[in-house]
Amino acid sequence: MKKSITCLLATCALYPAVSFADIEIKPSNGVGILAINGKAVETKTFFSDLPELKAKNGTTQIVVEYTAEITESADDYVLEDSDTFVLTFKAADTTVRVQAPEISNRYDLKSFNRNADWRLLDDRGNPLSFTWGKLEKEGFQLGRDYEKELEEFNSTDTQAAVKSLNTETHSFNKSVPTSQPPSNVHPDQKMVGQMLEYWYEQASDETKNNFKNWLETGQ
Amino acid sequence: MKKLLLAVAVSVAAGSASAATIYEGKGLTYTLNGDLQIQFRKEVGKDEHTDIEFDDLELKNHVSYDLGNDMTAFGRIDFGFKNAADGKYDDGSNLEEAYLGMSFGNTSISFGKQNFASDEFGIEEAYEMESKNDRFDAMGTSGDDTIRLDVELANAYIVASYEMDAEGEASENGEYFDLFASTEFNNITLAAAYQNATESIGAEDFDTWGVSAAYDAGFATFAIDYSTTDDVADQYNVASVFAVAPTTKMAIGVIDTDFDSINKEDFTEWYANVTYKFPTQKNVSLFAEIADTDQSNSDMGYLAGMRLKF
Repeated sequence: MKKSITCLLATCALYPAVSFADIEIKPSNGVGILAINGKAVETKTFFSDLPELKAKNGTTQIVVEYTAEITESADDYVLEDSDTFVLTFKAADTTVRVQAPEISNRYDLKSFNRNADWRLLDDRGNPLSFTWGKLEKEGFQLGRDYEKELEEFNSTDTQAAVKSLNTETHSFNKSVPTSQPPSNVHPDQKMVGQMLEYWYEQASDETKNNFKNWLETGQ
Repeated sequence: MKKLLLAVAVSVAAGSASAATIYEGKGLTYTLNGDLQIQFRKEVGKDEHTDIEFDDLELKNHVSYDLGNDMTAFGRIDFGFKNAADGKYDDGSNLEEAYLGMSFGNTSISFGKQNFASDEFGIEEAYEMESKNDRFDAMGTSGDDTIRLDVELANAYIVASYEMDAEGEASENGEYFDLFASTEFNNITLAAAYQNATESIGAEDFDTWGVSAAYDAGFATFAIDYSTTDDVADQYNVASVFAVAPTTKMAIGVIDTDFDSINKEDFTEWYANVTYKFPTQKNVSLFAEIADTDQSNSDMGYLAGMRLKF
């Protein structure tokens, strides 16, 4: 692990133009992505484009719902939402398709809510493993604050909780040029390298991603 | 059998839709659904004129209480406003369904003003038709003194209902006993229904039977049903639904009605419709349809409309 991170840092230094790829999230029909990594997803309107459903490589947490068309008679149906699920998975450099089985009766909807029959597939069609939990809000359901609910969810010990999403991370200052004058270079580069390596391993996924972005865009 | 529609449900970019759960807490859930549809329509027939009609202008209220141990108490009140909007009567709204019930796991029993079991039957995919949907639709599929039992299983759905005649009471009308069963396997859905109907107290009773089958071939769904009322009429439907674009689907169908009485003219009706769902909101759709019959002195009908559901 240490070697790979050293290599990564070295690569960043030598090839500053290397792009750190994201993962893209694609919901299938009937699936709504409500939040990604603690941030609520804005709703697409007829006059605005669909917000980019993207996350950095690594651990990703999404909030999802499925809206089923429940058959009421031979020629009518009503819409019913599934419970609100939190899915946490790991992926890198791929498109993650979020799928749910087609549901048209209450029996299947109850079963879905009980078993979380979600399927996450990468761009090669391979299933991704995930952990899951549910976001539950007591009271009026209109205008739910998913960001606040996720903060509470991520402070629990639920399997799908990602505690680091609640941790404040450092924002690397992109306005400061990273190419410092030679006089600022520390004479003990071995120690600098060790410290970089040490602190990188102490960083959360989000801080690492911020750091990578800073390297990418700051040079 | 709505699965015929769902099987080719058009995909949308956002993929999201939403029902309106208004309140959820301490075991209580209150959901409000709406179905608003308006049509610019000229009916099939002779000397028909174009007008604006409402078909489905409903607000559906559903309340349930979780009683624990997989038991739920539920109630439903649906108001329909289409007749009021079409100027057919003046009292504002029409109570379409009103019932209370209990569910135990996957079995529920309900009492009140609701649809019969045979209302589940049928595969037709038209927006509007000159014909009845099927023989059950012709005989009656809803009542106000109805006891209904629903059992939902993994691959089967069974419904039974009984409408009391309520002799001497304000709600006095006919007596109906209905059964419906359907099952799904390997992309095939099979269903059967039965009804014994006595349309008013002391009147002759009629038996109606029906069977249907639908096959989801992936690129399209094909379906057929046949229903018959003893000594009255036979009817069959053939329909197919297929996607013509990522947001657009098309349905075509034929209905043939064959009356036992020589005084009624047998006829065949066909229809073709197209439905576009907005990529941003799958609950908003635009549609258009043409239809005609082989009856004498009948002109083709057409409609175009818009539908919003929530």
